[in-house]
Formats: sequence, C-alpha cells, structure tokens
Amino acid sequence: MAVQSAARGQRKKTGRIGRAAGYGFVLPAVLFTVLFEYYPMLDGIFHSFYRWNGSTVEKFVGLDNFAEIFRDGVFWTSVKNMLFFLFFQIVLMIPTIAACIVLFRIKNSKMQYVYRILLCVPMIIPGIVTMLLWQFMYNPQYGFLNQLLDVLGLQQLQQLWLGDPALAKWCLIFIGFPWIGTIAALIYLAGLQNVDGSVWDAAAIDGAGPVKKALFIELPLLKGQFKLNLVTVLAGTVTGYGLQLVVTNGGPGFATLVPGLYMYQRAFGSGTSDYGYASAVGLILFVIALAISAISIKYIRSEE
Amino acid sequence: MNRLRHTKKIVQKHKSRGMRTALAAAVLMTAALSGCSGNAEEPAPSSPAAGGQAGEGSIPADKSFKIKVMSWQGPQEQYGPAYNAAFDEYMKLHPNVKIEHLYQPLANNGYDKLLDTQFVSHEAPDAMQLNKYSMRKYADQDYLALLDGPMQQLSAYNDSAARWVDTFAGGEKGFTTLKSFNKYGAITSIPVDGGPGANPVQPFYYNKDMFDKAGIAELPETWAELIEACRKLEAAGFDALAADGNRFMQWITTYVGNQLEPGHVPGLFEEKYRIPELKGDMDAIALLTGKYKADNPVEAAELAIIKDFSQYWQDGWAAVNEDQAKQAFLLGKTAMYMSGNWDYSYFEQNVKGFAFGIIPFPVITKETTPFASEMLPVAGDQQSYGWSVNKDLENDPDKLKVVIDLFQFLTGKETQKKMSDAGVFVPVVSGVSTPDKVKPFIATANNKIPTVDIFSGPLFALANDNKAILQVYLTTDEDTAGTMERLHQQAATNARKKASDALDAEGGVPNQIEILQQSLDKQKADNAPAAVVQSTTDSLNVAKLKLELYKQYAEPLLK
Repeated sequence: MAVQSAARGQRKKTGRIGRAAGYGFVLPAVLFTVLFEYYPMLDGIFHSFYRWNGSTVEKFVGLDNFAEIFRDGVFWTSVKNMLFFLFFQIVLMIPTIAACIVLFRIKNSKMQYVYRILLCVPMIIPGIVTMLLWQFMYNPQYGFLNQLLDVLGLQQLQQLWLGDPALAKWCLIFIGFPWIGTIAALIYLAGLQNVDGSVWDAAAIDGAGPVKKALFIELPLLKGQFKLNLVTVLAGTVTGYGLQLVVTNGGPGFATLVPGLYMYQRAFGSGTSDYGYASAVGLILFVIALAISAISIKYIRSEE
Repeated sequence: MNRLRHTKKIVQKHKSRGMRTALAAAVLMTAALSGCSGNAEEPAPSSPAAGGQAGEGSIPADKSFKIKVMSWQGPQEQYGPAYNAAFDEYMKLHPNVKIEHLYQPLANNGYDKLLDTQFVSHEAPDAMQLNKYSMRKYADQDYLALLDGPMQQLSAYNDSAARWVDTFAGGEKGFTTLKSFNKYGAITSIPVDGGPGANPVQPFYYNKDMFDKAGIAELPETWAELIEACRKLEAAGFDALAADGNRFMQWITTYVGNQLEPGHVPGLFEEKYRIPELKGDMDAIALLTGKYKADNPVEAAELAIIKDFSQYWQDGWAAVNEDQAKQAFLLGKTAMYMSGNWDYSYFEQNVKGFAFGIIPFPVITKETTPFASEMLPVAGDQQSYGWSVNKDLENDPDKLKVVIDLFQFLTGKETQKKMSDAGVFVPVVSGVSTPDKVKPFIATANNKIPTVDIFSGPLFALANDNKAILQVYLTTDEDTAGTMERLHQQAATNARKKASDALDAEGGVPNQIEILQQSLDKQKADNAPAAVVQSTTDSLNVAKLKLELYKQYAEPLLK
C-alpha cells in the first residue's frame, strides 16, 4: 500500500515537473509572440487615438483621427480601389483550383510530378523580382509589351499601361497571369490527395463525367481548403499593399492607391510623419479584414 | 580640465531632462574640443590652424580609432568614390584611424528604417549623411550631437584664423534653415558636398543631337523659349522631356512656383515676422486664417504653367520613377532630363551615341505670366542635407574629437577642391575654385529672390498627397479650380494641425522657449563661449517671435 502510494506520489511529481518543463519550453515562444506580435498591434490601437509624429508630438485626440478618416476623400478612393482588387482576387482564385483538379487527374505519376514541380518553381522567385519585371514589361517606351506590339505591326494597340489612370488597375490585376498561386495549389492538392479513393470509384460507377466530378465531388470536398485560401486572400488584399507600393506607388494619381498603402504613406511617405492617423487607418483595416473573413467563414460551410 | 569636470557634473545633474542635457552637452563639446580652454576664440593648443597653415589636425595619436560613417552615396556613384578617396587620404594622414564607409541606399525608406533601429539599439554609425527631415526627426529624438560648439572652433585644416562655421560659404547664416529645423535651434549637421553657392534650381541635361535635328540653334534661356524648343522637338518626332511621377513633380512645382510673385505670403504679415525661420509658419497661418485662399491666383498660374509644360513629357510619365526617367534619357528616348550635378559623371561615363549638355533652368518672364518675377531664388541657406554626428559619441570624447577632425578635414579647402573635382559638386567652403563642369550648377546673377520671399505654393506644399493630386490634374480633365480645392482641403487640415502643435504647451513652441531659456541661463552661468550664447539667444528670439505669430493669428481660431 505504502509502495503504491509512493509510486503515485512519484508519478504526480514527475507529472508536475513534466508540465512545468512543458510550460517552460513554450514560455519563450509565448513571450516573443506577445512582444513582437501583440505588443506592436496593441500599441498601434493605442496610438490610433493620438496625434503622434513619432518624436515630439504625442497628444490624445480621442476619435479625431477616425473622424478625419471618414471625411478623407483619398481614403474612400483607396477603399473603392481595394474593393476592386478584392473582387478580382477572389475571382482569380478559380484558375488555381481548376489547375489543381486537372493536375490531380493526370494518371501518369511522372508527369504529375513534373507539373507539380513547375507549379512550385515560381515560389522560389522573390515576389518583388516578379513585380519589377512586370513593371519593366509595362514601360511604354522600352517595355516588352509595346515592343512586341511594335514588332507585330500593331502599333495602334500600344498603351501607356501603368501610366494610364484608367488602365493601371487592370494592369495590376494582370500581373501574375495565369494566376496560379503556388501555396494555394499545394493546399488544394493536399486536400485532393486526402480524399478516399472509393469516392472516385463510386463516381465512375455512377457514370459521372469530368465536369460533374469537378462540380459535385472535387469542389465540395475542397471547401475547407478554399475557405483557408479565401481568408488569406481577403486579409492579404484588404491590408496588403506590396504590389501597389513597388509597381505604381498608388498612382497615377490615386488610381491604384489602396488603404494599406495610404496608411504607409501617411506614416512614412512624407516629411510630416502622421503615425497616429496611420495607426487609425490600420485599425480600421484590421476591423474590415476581420469582419469580411468572419462573414466568409460563416457562410461557406465545408464538407467534413 | 576643471572646467570640463564642472560642465560634466552639470550635465549629469540634469540628465533626466533630455533637451536641456542636449544643449548643455553642446557646451561640454565646445569645452572638450577646445582643449578645455573654454574660449572659442582661442585655437586648440595643438591645432596647426593656430599658425595659420593647413595641417594634420589634433587628434590623440596614442590610440587607435575605428570610425563608421554611413551614406547613401554608392561606390559606383560619383560622390561615393570622391568620399572614399578623401577618407583614404585622411587615414594616410592619421594611420591610427580606420574609417569604414557604409553604403545604404535610400530606396523604400531603407536608409531611415535602418537608422531608426540602429539609434534605438545604440548601434548607429558615428556619423551619417541625413536630409533635413531626418535630421529634424533624429535631433528631436536626441540621437544627434548638437554641433554649435565644435562649429565655433577653429578648423585644423583651414589656412585662416576663422571659426569653422565661418569657413563655410554663407557663414553661420547659411545654417539658418537647418537650425530652425529642430527643437534645439541648433546646428545638427556638417555640409560636405553641394554648398550654399549651388543653384537651388536644378538644370536640364539635354541631348545635343536631338536639339540639332530639331533645329534648335540657341539654348532656351526663358520659359517661353523652353516651350518653343519643346514644340520643335515634338515636331521632329522626339519626346521632349523624361519626367517622373515623384521627384520631378516636387521639383517642377518648386522651381516654377519659386519664380513667381516674391513676398506674396510674407506680405500678408507684419514686417517683424518676415524672417526665413518663420516662412513655413506664415504659409500655414495664411491658410488657416483664410488670408491665402483655395483660388489663389499665383498658385493657379503656377499649376497652369506646369500643365502646359506636361504635354511635352514622355508618355506614361506618371508611372515612371526617377531612375526609369533617367534611363529614358540615357537610351536616347527623350531630349531632356532634369537632374543635378550628382548625375554628371554617370552620364559622362554611360551616355553612348550622342553628346549631352546642360541647360540652366529657364527664367519665367512676364511673357508667360504677369506674376513672373524674372528672377530665381537666391543661393545660400539651402542646406538640405549634411553629415550628422551620433550623440553617443559624447560618451567617448577622444573619438568625438576624431570624428570632428575628420569633418574639418573633409571641409578643408584642399580636400574640398579634390572632392569637388572628382564628385562634380559645388564646394561647401569659401575660396575654393571649381572645375568648368561644375559651373552650370552654380548660382548666377539671376538668383536674387531672398529666401523669406520665395513663393512656395502653400497649397501644394502643405497637402499630404500633393504629387498624386498633381498627377490627376496633369493626366485627366480635372480643372485647375478643382485641383486647388483638393489641395486646399488637405493643406488647411495640416495647417490647423501645425498651429495646434506649435501652441501645445508640452511639445510646442512654449516648451521650446522654456528649454532654450534654461539653456541660455546655464550657458551664461557656465561662462560658455560667446558665440554659443549668441547662437542660443538667436534661437530663443526666433522661438519667441514664432509663438507671438501663432498667438496673434492662430490661437483665436483654434479656440
């Protein structure tokens, strides 16, 4: 009896030590996450209620920054542009799904492997290089597109591309053609590989053709992966601005300005740093991204 | 030495009060760098300048020093090699000093971002090149040494008995704008390239072959002649100008606007306020009070001139950055490109297949607009960038002495001559001859508009998104009135913020006055050099006048 009790005590002690060690191992990660992820975010929320230039001026202004944003025509122009990009970014998720379904159906495993490699290769090219290459291609004087049209004798089709306020947004959308996202593709392919093979056998017995298979089997089964990629696209498009910053800097005029870039410009883009205002823009973007993502997740139910 | 210890003690006593400490440190630096003499008029004992000859400086010879300096002058650009050659020469002169020249490009705010983190972690270089906006930011954050003290000393590399500050072209007055650009009213940088004698208006590089083919025999000297030349170039099938949607926007509005109606804004205020230090404040208050309206005819004329000119810029310019515009000129796609002397060597080495020349920025005459002054802004007091010294060096007086000595060397006449020849820039010190290729970049008899009277286009200058709004104006059908209204909306908001910040008791001018007053009292009590006391007194008087201006005009409107 005493032996059992001692053993129990020993197990308890070992368990406590084990738990403590576990928490100890997790602690650095938690600390760093709080310090580098949550602290800047909370600091941004805090400063969104301040007039703050990063050095001499730090004055509580209540909701003044938000009131100014709502009156700010440039901000609303940027929101309109963002919605334009958002719509097309969602639409342009289709090519990746379609490519993955087709790739998954390739019977020859060697060819499937080759295509998978080809899908992944763009991943190792830095995004900024791709953007700069496209920027160069769009140059009206010596860029690839106008040169090509010139060689083909189609001078009448030459454009100002990024220099034309009416075309610039479309040019940005076209960057990334044929719009196959590598990470998204890997997620979809992993999803398809996890589907039980009997589903395909049953579909074959029922005489389902390729289109029916896609509409009634593959797409519903990929809803979970689609949801994940959708949230990434939503959050990325609402808060992101890398493409606009590198390729057009929001121009010409405000033609490609998005709220994230506007936030960046207000904080770092001019002689007078308006960090408080930029923080308020950031907070609004955070709320918008959160709301859109929550709504999307709620209304797209995945097949478990 | 006792004086040094005493000053240190005072500084430590007030360490918690950052701004006061900074100014006191300037006094300490003066004392330390003057070999504890406490008298700025006397040369340091070992300084060869005492004998009236250029020499080797007066740095500790028994210690080794590793100095890190950072600039945006790449090793392939013309200033970079000029600096590197000067650093090599200094190291030969002082074998115990090793200088590491770090290059950090400006692109995407990379330069400032790096410095932001380096300053916070006290890892910043010993000296770094900064523009006036960054200087203000870092000086206000107490990261930069205040240089009024060292500037009052004799330079070891100058053959006259003048104070270092007086060896610069324009003397101490040349630093007025920079001094007004930080809360201490202090000198926070040492100019080395691009002196006050430089023409503040950049010229156009032009393709001589295209001009010949277009039949332009005489180079344009007036704005009307420039437009005529553009017409001829377009008629000959050439794009006249390589513009960009960023830097060029800023330049063209500044250079056109600067020539119009001198004294337009200062004329709205009493005489006593019309000083260069209050120029930006007068612009803001004029907007805030409605003295300067959204339909201001001078700014409208400025915009109209630019719009007319924009028809001759290359297609798609709004989406092009300055490097791409430069490439367009280099590749012979356009006939002109606006830039400064820093591009001269680049074009000299890289232009192939055509000859290039330089056209000074034309004078706008009454033929173009009735607001034309037919003059250009005066040169001098145009220091827009320089080298600042890391405040951390105040903890290492010997190293600080070396860094100051290095910059005295760089701004010595002999070094300036060599650097100016190699880097094609206007020397920052007086009495240095310049090579012919620098001459197009030097101010002429046309540069006559006094700084305080220069029209800076307050709507454009104070609007956050000025370049984007201008792009819309120039690339769409938006009219001048609509554009000015858009600029006015942003500018008026910013003017209000500026006034509110200025009147703020904690971070505004009242606080600045308190600090300056306390510093002045301390300087007097410490028997600081007369020039340092005078410099602080001047800054205090300017701050008081500034507060008076805001109280008189802005305060009633903000209540």
